[in-house]
Amino acid sequence: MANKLSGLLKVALLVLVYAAVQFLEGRGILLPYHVQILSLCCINIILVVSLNLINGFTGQFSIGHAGFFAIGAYLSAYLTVKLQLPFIPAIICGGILAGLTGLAVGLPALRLRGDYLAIATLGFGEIIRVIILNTDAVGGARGFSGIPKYTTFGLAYLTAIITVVVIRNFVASDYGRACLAVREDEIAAESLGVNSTYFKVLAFALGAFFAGAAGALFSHYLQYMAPTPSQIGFVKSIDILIMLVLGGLGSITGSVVAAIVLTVIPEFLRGFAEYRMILYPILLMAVMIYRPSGLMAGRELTLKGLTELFKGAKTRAYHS
Amino acid sequence: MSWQIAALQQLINGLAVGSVYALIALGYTMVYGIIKLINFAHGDIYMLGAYFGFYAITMLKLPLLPAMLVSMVAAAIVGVLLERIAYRPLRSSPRISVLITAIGASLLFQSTAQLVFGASFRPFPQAMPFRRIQLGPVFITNRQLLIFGVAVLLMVILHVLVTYTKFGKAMRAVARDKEAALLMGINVDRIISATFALGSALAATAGILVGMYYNRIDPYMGMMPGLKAFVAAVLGGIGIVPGAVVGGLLMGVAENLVVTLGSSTLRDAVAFAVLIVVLLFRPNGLLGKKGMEKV
Amino acid sequence: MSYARIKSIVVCVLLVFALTVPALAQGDVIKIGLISSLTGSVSTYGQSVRNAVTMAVDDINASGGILGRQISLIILDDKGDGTEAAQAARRLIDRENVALILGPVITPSVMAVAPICQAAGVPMLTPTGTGDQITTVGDFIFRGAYKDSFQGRIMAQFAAENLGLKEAAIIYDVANDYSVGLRNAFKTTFEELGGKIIAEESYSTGDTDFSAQLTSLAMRNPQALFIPDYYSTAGPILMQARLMGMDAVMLGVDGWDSPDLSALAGGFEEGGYIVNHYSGDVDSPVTQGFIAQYTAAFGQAPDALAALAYDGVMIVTKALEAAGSTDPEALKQALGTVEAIEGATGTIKMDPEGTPIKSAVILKITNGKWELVDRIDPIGR
Repeated sequence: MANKLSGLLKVALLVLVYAAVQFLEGRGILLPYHVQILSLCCINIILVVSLNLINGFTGQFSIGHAGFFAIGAYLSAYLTVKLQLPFIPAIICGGILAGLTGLAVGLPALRLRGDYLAIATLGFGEIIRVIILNTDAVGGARGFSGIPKYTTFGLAYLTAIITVVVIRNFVASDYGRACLAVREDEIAAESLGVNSTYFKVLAFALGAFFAGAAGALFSHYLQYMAPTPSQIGFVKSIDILIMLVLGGLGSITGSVVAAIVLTVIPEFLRGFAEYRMILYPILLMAVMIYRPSGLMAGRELTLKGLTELFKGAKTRAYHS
Repeated sequence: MSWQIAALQQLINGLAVGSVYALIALGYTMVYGIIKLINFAHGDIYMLGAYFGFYAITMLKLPLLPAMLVSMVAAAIVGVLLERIAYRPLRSSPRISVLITAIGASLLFQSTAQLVFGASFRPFPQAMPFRRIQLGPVFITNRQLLIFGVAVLLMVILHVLVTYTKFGKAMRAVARDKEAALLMGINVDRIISATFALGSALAATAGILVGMYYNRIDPYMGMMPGLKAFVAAVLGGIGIVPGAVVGGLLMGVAENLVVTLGSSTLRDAVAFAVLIVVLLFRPNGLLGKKGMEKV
Repeated sequence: MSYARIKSIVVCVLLVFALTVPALAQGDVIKIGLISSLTGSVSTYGQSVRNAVTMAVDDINASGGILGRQISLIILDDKGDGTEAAQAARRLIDRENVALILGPVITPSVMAVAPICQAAGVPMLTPTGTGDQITTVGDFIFRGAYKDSFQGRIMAQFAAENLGLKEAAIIYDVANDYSVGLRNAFKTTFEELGGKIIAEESYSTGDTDFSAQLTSLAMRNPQALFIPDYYSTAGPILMQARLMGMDAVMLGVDGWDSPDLSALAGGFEEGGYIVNHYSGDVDSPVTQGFIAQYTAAFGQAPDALAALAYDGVMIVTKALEAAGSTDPEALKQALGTVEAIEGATGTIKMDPEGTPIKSAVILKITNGKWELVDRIDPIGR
């Protein structure tokens, strides 16, 4: 009963956030500028949470997430621009192709571990970028322009919620427990009958699917894709990884919070010009040194936890 | 020129580029071997080394070799400080947090260098004339010869250091088992600092050599070579000193041969594809030993 | 709840607040936004642009501003990345209510900003964007540089007709649309005129070693080598090519124009030809004044991007004066029709499609100096 209630409460809260954004936007308090940042937050949430499934919950070490993102972005744009496909099917197609690529990338994960896997996935990401760079059908080096602006805040928000719910439920399911077992100790998991091969590849495919969907949202948000390292290459992969680690591996709410914070902070620092790129890494290093396991350190932020937090604060206030 | 001669010429070019990769890869591999950290800021120390050399030559008016020494010392200090400030507090933390700190350090070096040295591409002071040495149908430039010579010399010195000296022995002991080394009376912190100093000095040399060779330095010059040298280190078997050399030279030669075979647009993709294929068949790199999985 | 956590929540709230509060309205000024790549791997170009633009705007303000109003310049960094540029553009439009956006500098950023400006109805002028597709985004999008197709064709014509070359080779940056665009245009025109591209090699932005590509090219022994890239890359390529024993005629583009080219090329740029906006021999007092002022202010001579950025401000000034207000429609009309602007890159006239019509010159490097070889009229392009 209590579970059902808290579930309802969560849904109500999510709807409320959406309604509030719509209302404030209608009143002109939230400018298109803010809504654009919010949409970008949602897209980053999808990316970070999906990478969390691979790196955080299954214990693999992928730094090629931007590759999946790129596939979703370019394929969906190709479908809507060249073949006039509606947006939603295009997102799904982008996700599926990314997911299939994830299967292929997951295979080396069977033989490679840790840093070796990291460099292999980084290599995969760069190969995908170079292939896009050399594909004239999607603009090559000149980039893919003229993509319609289909991504709205609502759609990005909804997709982010779907991603979080699916991955949360996956992690809580038998499959997810198997993934956790693979992360904790692969040999022990194998000896208990967990097919580690299967779960690693599954995690890669599912994570890649959502990254592809995020890519589709992104290309129809920016309306232009360029095959640069910061857009779809290793710089982007590392950005996603930073958000993930800062939020805490294995914490979905941590990923969500970090994705939002790290999307907003660079925006806040933008006016500082050259000093921005000095402040940002210092902040990053400071957080890592003082909270090496990330902001959430593997724990989850829950409604219950939050209320207790505030109650705690109140009682403390009484005493002081 | 027939294609055989071209291939031979590409081999020479590849060896020159490869020895730069190897010099940078050595730093990666030594640090990895000892604290299992991919030191992402290593490519930027290489960049700093080039700038230190640049200023030693232009402002202190030093000749090439003393400038190189100054730059090596300065880079070594930066490397040691980096480890002290950013990595040591995290020694018992998850490895991925240290990795993110390293990425942060890399960004910091780049943007500080941009602010201090300026963002523009600088021509490197040319401390020696341009000369071509004809070897039958192929040729080698005096700069390529210098790069190759210095790289080989430093690698030999490093090899002797690691294999035959007391310090080298201590280094290998720390790499194998930190606790046991500590129990044997080895000052682990000092050995780690020394490793960073050594790796950074090698990177600084590479930076100056590259500045001389390509005649151009800039605050972001460490990014791609850093990445490629890291790939080279993994290719050879990360943590293994000769592996870095083999990996670096192989990368250089392979890249150049790919261009000869006519696909310069796909050069970078091919480099990574080769890496993935090699890793699939030898998951611990070319010279890596198959490690026993500890249960 | 720990103190540290409360503190971090407070910081977050403040942050969000700082972002939402609209910028305070300032007195009667004309707000112009500049999006430039001040950090990141293309920052050297972005900083040239920023320097030149601030210098030009300071001059205008010192002499009384435009329409009796001062210009307030808001500079935002985009790291040379499209996503960031889009954010910067929205911020300039929504929060700062700028009358016009100058920049961004490189095409990936320009193409991300253009749809936003077009949809919002805010005129935008990129002083440096050369990609042909830029101005096709809409009627609010303008540029201050040549189109790639124009410049590439001029060089190909010169090579085929004036130099009488039959064969050429190309080495270009496959990851840079400026380079790719020029290569395409050069190739098409050169082949139309009966020439033959006997070999092509490419590299990626950030590469420093070109020996592999150049060795392949040297094997074919081409009469000429076209290197469409900025001085920072063209310089090392020139040096490596000559050291390899290549004796081809070197053909370049406006991006070569920099006082650093000679040092970066180790003196091996001698004998090369480039297309450029202006020439040191025949240039106007405006050009000379610009070069002197820039050198005095920033301790280094301006490159081609700085000159283009300076002229970007000139075009905008002229358009604002012609429009008589900051009304976007009027400003748009004015931007497409201003003419007879004396800029650092010569005489400029804008066409309504958004690209300047200006003459081009072919320069040859002789004894370390750029010498005028030919002047091409922009008619019939």
